[in-house]
Amino acid sequence: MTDKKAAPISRRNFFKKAGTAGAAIASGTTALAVASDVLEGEAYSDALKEYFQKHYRDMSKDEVKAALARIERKAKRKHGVDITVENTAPYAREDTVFGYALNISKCKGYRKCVYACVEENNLSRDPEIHYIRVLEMEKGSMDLEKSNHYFGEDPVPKAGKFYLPVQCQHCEDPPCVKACPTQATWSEPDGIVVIDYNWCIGCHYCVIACPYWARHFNWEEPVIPKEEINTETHYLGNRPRERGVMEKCTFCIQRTRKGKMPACLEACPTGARVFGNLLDPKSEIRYILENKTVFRLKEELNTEPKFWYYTD
Amino acid sequence: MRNSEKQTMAVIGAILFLGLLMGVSLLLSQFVVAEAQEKETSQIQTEDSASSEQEEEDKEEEEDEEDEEEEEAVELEPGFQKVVDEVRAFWKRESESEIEELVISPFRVPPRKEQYEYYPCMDCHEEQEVQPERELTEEHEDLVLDHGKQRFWCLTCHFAGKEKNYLRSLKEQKIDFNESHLLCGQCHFERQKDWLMGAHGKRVGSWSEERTILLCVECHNPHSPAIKPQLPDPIPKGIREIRMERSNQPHKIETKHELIKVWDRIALKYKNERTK
Amino acid sequence: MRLINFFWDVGLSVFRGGKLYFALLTVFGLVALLGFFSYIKQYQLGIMGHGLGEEVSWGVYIANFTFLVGVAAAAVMLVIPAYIFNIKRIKEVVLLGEVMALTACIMCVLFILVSLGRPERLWHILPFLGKLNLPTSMLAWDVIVINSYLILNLLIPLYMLYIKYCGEEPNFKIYFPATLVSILFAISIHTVTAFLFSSNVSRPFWNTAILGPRFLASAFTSGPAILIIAFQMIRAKSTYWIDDGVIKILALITTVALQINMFLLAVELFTEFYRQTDHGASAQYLFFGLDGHNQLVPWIWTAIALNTIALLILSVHKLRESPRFLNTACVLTVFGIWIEKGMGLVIPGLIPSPLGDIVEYTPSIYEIGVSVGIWSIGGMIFLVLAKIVIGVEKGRIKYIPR
Repeated sequence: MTDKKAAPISRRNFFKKAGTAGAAIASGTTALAVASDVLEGEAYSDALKEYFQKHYRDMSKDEVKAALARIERKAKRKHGVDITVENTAPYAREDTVFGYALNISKCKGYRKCVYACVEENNLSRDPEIHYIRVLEMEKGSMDLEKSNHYFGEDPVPKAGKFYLPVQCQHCEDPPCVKACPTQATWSEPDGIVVIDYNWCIGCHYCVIACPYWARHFNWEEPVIPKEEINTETHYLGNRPRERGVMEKCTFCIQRTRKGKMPACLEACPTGARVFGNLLDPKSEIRYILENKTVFRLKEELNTEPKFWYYTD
Repeated sequence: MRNSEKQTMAVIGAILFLGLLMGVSLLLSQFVVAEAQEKETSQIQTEDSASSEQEEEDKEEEEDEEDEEEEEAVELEPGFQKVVDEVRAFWKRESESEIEELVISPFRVPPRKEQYEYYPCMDCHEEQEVQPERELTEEHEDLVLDHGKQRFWCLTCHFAGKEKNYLRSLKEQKIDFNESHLLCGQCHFERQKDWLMGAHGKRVGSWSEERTILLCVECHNPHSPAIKPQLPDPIPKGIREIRMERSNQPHKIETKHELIKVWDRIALKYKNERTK
Repeated sequence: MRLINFFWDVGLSVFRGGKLYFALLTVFGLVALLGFFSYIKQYQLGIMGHGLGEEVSWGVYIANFTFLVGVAAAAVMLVIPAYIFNIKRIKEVVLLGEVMALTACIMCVLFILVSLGRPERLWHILPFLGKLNLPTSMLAWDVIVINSYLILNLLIPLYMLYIKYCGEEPNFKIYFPATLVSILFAISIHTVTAFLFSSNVSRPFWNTAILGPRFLASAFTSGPAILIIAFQMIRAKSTYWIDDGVIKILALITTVALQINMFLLAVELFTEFYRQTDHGASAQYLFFGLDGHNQLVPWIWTAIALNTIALLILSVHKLRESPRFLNTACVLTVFGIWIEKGMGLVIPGLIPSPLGDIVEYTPSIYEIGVSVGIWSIGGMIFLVLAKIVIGVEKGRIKYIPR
């Protein structure tokens, strides 16, 4: 055989080999991923389908339905609870963009919102994950670095302090969405920034990108007592999460898209929180934006948060 | 069927209309009402009579209807009337035009009267007289009056006579318990405007449907309105605390040291410079 | 058939070698195994297995990644003189440089892999199957450039080795364009990695335009320094002779790059400390400690001391020309840059957190285990590849028609 003729054949062989090697590695990881789920009692077909589940926005209606059913089955097996997973579409799609306003003269730092959120959104109790962090701020200063996150040994409000709860600001130009390498997080048509927990690869880059410390990572399998699980869930919201993925505040997508108020607002004992439709000129939030002194946190970063703070 | 129904409705409507007119004329004989106000009430009455369902309800609760009429008679300060008009203009929606639980408010408040243990007051006070002293010794002694820096007493807001089922405005007008914000708004008018518009207080239920807001007294005890300091919910556990807890190490959640206040820091600097 | 022969011969050569070679391979292999078990253990332990947390979610893995990207990019300092200017004595070692870049790239990918929460979902970033977030995500760009650079650095040396193996002259039309592309990618992997950090408005410490130049400067310091160390070792322990001129050129590059690097650092520090704004808080934490937290302070001063000593040694011609001083300076600067650009850049950027909380980071033993494991995998790969390269270059592995 002459070399010139032999070369292409062997090259083809080489690519074939490389191809098979690649396929072997791919199937190996798949098998490993699927096997670990199956070992935990998952049905083989469910585990396989979950592994190959498409991005939420690429799924057809039937595929979404199947995915929702799979999540319900998994929750039943893992937590022993019958949950309902929905994928309620954006509320009044054309003319609703959610906004939030918070009256910092009224917030007294009771942290009711923090734990209402934990219960509503099926947040891990151990290790703790909180979507809302209430900062105890020094009066006379807006320096976040002088804030105290861990107040609470004495009754609040304390003299000389004011309180600034921070959660996801649902930016119009979210740095996290820009940063995510897999498009696992995006802005919904109603302005809510959501995550597809089944698509996230857990690279932490959004945590790094977020200026509001709003994105939280499941370092471990989240632990929630069975009886405390909120069974009314949304695919993009409070459905049970797994380890190794990001999660964040979704303005209680499972509630607000049905017209209800977010859990943090309902729990607030001082009425400091206002939620509504920014596009509706006759809404409370619009009244506040148009008539009150408002500010946004770190507005200079040009992320256009849809979360305003105002004072009396 | 339809015709006969319509006829009966018309008859009932006419009777109710007459009844309302009588009520108004009675009221007119009792109070001197400005002409403009009179026009407004008659307008509202015609609106009322337009919707037949409401009228049937009205018929069932004649007492309430009377109350309403009396409430309408609450004379609003010109300044407040302006606010009310503003609120109406802001909040009035076509879909909500039928919802008129309160006279002036285009929104709903969760009714308050049902929540009171002793309401209606006249059930007891029919016989029991009001104690003339400022110190409460026989009934209601659990009430602590810490409002208005001792300038108020019971009769600032409550009636001594037969109108005890109502609150008493500074002008001695009757104010329904479900509309107590009118009373609070006499002094706290700015807060009241915020509340009416949605910048203060709390909306409950839904952000999209009919607007339901909590009355002032749902959160503030009217006799002692300042909200007292209380212990907050648990301190969040950071990753440090979780690690220490799990490895059974003694730990305390780290709290930052007391920071020097901005003004103190600046004052200190100037003081130091001057002592030089 | 020749290609198969080539792979066969190359494959065989891996299993033939001296005692030192196998001893090193065994040690590296054992440490890599340790790293693997550390990873498993870390996974099982969750939070207890990590030193990371909600505030500091990038740690040693990304620090090493950043450093290694620099090492990978530095191969370009051999590639340019070898292929573009056709300097013969550098051409003899350029393959070693490219192999070093390949090793560094593989290590980069490994460091990213172990820092993922869901590594098995990696198919989500594959072309066509997944959804790579282009053009906005800097991490997506990094995935592209690093993998492209990896593939280029796999294919170019493979081609050159194969040609040498066959005893032919390389085809200019094939290797030259590929080399040009690889030079572009070498610059871009480092710039994109710098953008990966500097694009974050949330982290003022990183959010500075000087980060890109600083990355390049430090890359061209540490990369050639590592190459010098590797070449000195190869010179000492194998029969392959590397020309003094090569070492001299590399030493000069290291020197100039280190000078620039120190200058850029000084510029950076001036901006941070002239007006101590909020932006300076991270620098304050790094260099002097913040609110009683000062874990990184000794590290960064060590790095600065190491770099300064190295700078002094390298800047004096006589000292630089003495092999002993040169080697010391190279070791010092590699460690110095490793701290400055790894731990000293990644971690303080995350402290204080965007909400002003200060949570310090200490790598867990498992993280250290995994990192050491990956370094040994890197060592193993470089050892094997260098052996192959030397074998081919020296003509020990060549095509014999059967």
